[in-house]
Amino acid sequence: MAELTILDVGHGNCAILRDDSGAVIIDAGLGVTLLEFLEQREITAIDAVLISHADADHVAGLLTLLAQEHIAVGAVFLNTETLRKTAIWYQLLVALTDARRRRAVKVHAELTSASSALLRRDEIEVQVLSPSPEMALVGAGGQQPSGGPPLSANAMSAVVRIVVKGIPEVLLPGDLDAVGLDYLLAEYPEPRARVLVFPHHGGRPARADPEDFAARLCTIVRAGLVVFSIWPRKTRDASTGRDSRRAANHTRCPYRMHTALREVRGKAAERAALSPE
Amino acid sequence: MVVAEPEIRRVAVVDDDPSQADVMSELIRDAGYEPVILGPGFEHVKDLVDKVRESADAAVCDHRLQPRGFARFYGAEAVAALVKVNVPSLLITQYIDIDADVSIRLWRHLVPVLLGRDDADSDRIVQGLNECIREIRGEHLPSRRPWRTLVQVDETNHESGAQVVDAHIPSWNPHQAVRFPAALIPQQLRSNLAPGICFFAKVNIGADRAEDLHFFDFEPAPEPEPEDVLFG
Repeated sequence: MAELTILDVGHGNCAILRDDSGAVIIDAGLGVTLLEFLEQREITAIDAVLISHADADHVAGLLTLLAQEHIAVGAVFLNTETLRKTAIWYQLLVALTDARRRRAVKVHAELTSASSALLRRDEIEVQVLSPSPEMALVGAGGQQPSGGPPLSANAMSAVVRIVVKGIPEVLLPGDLDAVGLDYLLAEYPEPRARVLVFPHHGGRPARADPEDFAARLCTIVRAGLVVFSIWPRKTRDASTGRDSRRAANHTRCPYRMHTALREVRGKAAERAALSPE
Repeated sequence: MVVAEPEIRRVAVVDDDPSQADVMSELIRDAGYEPVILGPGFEHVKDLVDKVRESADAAVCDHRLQPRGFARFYGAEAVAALVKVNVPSLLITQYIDIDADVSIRLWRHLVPVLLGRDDADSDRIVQGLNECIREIRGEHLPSRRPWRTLVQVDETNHESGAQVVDAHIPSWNPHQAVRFPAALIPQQLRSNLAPGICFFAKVNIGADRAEDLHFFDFEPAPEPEPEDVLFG
């Protein structure tokens, strides 16, 4: 029996896939929600942690997860962001170095479409649709092969899809923006899934219009459920005043939308269902 | 540690300001307890702890006890000592913004509840003492539970004659620096205090407010080397 839980980590992402083989974490946002969830479920071994990109709202929780002596993490998969020179990147390197040296955590410096074979499980495929290995060689902050501005970390977000018995169930695109979507579609023209975790929490998709981006993405993915993992007060795009969640709701796809589930701390599940108009 | 839940009847009022002690006594009475106002003249924390234990079951303690010569130490140290011997105790102050970073943070891991004067009412006193009892039992609120995590030093400074560290706790909030006394870091690790240095420490990263963060059990963290993976 497999189960994917999308945790409410505020403005960030964190999902846990559990099956008979063990557990895989996809992104680890801020705070203690993940740690509390693992404790409540008595999960003390994580096969792999996949990091879409190294923004704090996707990776900060990993710093604490790796520091827990009672939780064994088998491997961490991520792409380099050394060109960005962010504080969180250095802090992540410190935590990974400690985990690798002291606790033999395997650090895979690649999470690309070539990684899927390493992530195969008994009944479930954990597919990495993007970036391609070649794009990962360019890396966030690197120059696009075709010219234009340097690749952003969001454009380079690893896009993970969970496939169960051949059915694409969930698409987790990190903070994928319009540039990254173009690269994704060049490799996978139909990245369909029944559930879409909306990228970048509904925030700005680089220079693209949020409404156009939301409509395009939802049309391509054809999800029946769109989940926004977001702090409720941060739903509007600050630069345009447009709200991707509202925009997504106005597209013609027949889906329902929910915010991420708040399953811990004894609070009732937060299900802000937004019916399509 | 599992201890029997103490029954609270009398609550000691520890305050160098007699008028504030009277106000607190009223609140404690409203909360259903019997207030016991302690007199001044404490040289050592142990003297105060002994006095509280012989006269009350719990305490509400002001932080700045020195100005009127009530005691030669801060209330935070007294509360920490009381909690250590399983006496539920609240720390109260009107100087949270000024004192939280250094003189309170030094003892904050043993101070379950910090109240501003404005927040103190009879309901909050009852609630605070109950939280204190639970923490003494080992049942931390999510906001008080310490987790081993990474702490990165931004810079060191001096405040009120003490060396202090301004640091980031990225798993709590990567965008806000927090100040704490360097004395929380073991002496043998302090020679290494430089901007950028990382430690592992126990921190209650579930806290909402910076003033509620506490730190203990510092350990050195490795410095990544150029030959390590991921450096590009």
